[in-house]
Amino acid sequence: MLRIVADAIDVAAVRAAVSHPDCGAILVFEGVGRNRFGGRPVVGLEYEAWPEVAEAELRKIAAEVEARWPETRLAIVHRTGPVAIGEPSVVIAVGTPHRDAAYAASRFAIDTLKERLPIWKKELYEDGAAWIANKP
Amino acid sequence: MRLSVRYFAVLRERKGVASEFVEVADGATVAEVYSQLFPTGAGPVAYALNQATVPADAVPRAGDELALLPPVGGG
Repeated sequence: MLRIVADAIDVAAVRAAVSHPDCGAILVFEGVGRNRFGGRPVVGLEYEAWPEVAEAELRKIAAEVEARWPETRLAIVHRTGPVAIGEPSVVIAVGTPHRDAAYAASRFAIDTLKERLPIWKKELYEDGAAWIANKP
Repeated sequence: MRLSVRYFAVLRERKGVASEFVEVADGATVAEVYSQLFPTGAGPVAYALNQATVPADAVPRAGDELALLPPVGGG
């Protein structure tokens, strides 16, 4: 499950995609809309993607995870469209035999997708909006 | 020559469309095409031709799809 979707993310389904009897550790990361940016109140977010290229990039990231942490099951779903404060924009689930790989693979996946996926974020304020890029 | 150009985020809002066909000079680099489309500038962009990233001095060919990519913000 490596997808860009246009609706609310089914977090339970992402977790279920990595659950398996050989997994002793399952880790679910949710990137969630936050209510502040540099002290300015954020009232909502909007995400835009280049979907086919973003999904191809997710597959590349999955291949890298597999190479570095074999036996890791990985699922990533990122949504587009409006995202409310407190709602997930991205969910990453990893399932591994032991927890060390789960923490490492999960961290690698979020760091890498933030750097590489063709996805853009617009923050909505009470008095305007701005496209905000990730810090390098 | 004619290219198809895809816009995202702030560029899409400025142009009012997600994509369009444009006429550019043969031999123009992707950076030059960007300047032609946004003569007063529109912030830093990365370039992709036919869905593969290319440097600013890449030269598209007729029929190529050029994507103009503002700094990303996913995750």
